[in-house]
Amino acid sequence: MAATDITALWLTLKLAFITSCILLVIGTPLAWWLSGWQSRFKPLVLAIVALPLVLPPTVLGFYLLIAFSPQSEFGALWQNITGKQLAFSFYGILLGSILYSLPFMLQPLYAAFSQLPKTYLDVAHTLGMGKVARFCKIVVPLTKASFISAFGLCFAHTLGEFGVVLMIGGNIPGETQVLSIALFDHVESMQYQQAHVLAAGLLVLSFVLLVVLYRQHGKKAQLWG
Amino acid sequence: MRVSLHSFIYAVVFFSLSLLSQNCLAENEQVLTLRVAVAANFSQTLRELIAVGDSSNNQQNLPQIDVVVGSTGTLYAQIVHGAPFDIFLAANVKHPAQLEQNGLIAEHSRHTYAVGQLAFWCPSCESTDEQSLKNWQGNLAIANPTLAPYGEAAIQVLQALNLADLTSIRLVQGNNVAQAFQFIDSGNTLGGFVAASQVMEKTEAQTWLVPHQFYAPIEQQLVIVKNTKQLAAAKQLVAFLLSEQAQLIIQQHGYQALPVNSKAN
Repeated sequence: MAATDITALWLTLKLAFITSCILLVIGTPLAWWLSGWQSRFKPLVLAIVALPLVLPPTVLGFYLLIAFSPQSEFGALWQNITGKQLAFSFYGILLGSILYSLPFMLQPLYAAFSQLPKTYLDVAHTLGMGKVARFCKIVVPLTKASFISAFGLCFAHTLGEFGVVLMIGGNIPGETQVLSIALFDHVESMQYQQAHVLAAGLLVLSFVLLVVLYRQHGKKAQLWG
Repeated sequence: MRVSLHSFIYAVVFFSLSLLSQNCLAENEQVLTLRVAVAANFSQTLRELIAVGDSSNNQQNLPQIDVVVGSTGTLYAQIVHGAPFDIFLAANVKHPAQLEQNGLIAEHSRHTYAVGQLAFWCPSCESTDEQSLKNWQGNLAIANPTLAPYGEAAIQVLQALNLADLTSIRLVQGNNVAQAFQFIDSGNTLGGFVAASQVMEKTEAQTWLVPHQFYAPIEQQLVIVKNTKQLAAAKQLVAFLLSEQAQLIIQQHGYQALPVNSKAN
């Protein structure tokens, strides 16, 4: 494996890990709030958070490229605060990945929270357990498996990210050149040997990850059964 | 809004039937179309050429043409794996030559049809020339030099001007020259190297046509794909693209005149 490919591999793992961690922090309260929220606007909000599932990544990439431009308000604000530009930087593709993988964190958590029998929480409430304690000591242990699969799915999905990074990344080694982009470059420039190494590597990695996730899922089913 | 199962099934059946009937119609009509695969940088010019070819009176009417746009590398890989294209307009010489070597093109069908020119484009600059490039700080957009001939040429220019190793310039690579253009156009980079054909309508202050001594000519070649079932029609279109009338239009779009002996290929 060439040095640039190893850099790309490391960058990809880093991106996937940080994306999943941030999404865990954002996604948990969001999913919890959504599961308890009752309003006629709920389908609207659910549709918005599910959008990245169905939209081509190019749509997201195109809008992000416009939003990142220093001529836009968001891009200008970011540049004023950090002194750096969002497009073509690691933070740019990180932000893109967070948006792109958001549904993969929300869906499993939302489903788990919605199915949670409310009686446990009510009993704990009447016994005087605080809000945070109820969440940490009852909800999290009961939905642990969903947390793991949500994290794993986010990680796996970010590994396979291509379109968004292609549009906002700028192909900079060590910063925005992720594995899928490096692979694309190899294929386009007829370096099929190197392409094979990366493609097979991604295939095995993703497969192993999914097997682990489904095993986890199986255990959860037994636990609940 | 609730969707009942019945209306859903009706909708699915209706769409399937209408798709089927469309297919049957298409098969009955048997309209012969030429599929032309074209590198992104030339696609706009090609569409205009086709429009001119259709309307011009002294030319036999061209067959119906479907244009497939992609990067040279992608289209090459698709042709190698049997994509049903009749003509391939690449952005370089390498890929068409490779196809010829592999015996995938019709005999003697490889020709240079255009010679691209590189331009330095900076929309916010008051003037652009060699000096503004030498004073450049920060992000500079180029096409990916390992994939795109315009990116390769951009690197040659930077090397010729001894700017290639400067740390003050940060190269931002688009997948092809169209994406490099997009990076600049969206304001995410202040300037960069694009194809002259992309910035023909920009003001002179914003663009600098890079002198030819700084980079090797960007020859773009075409081939007729061996598996074509419409060799005659394909040859007719190629003849039109190489004709004086078409070449004049190509030059008006920011390409150089062809080298004299190019047809001998």
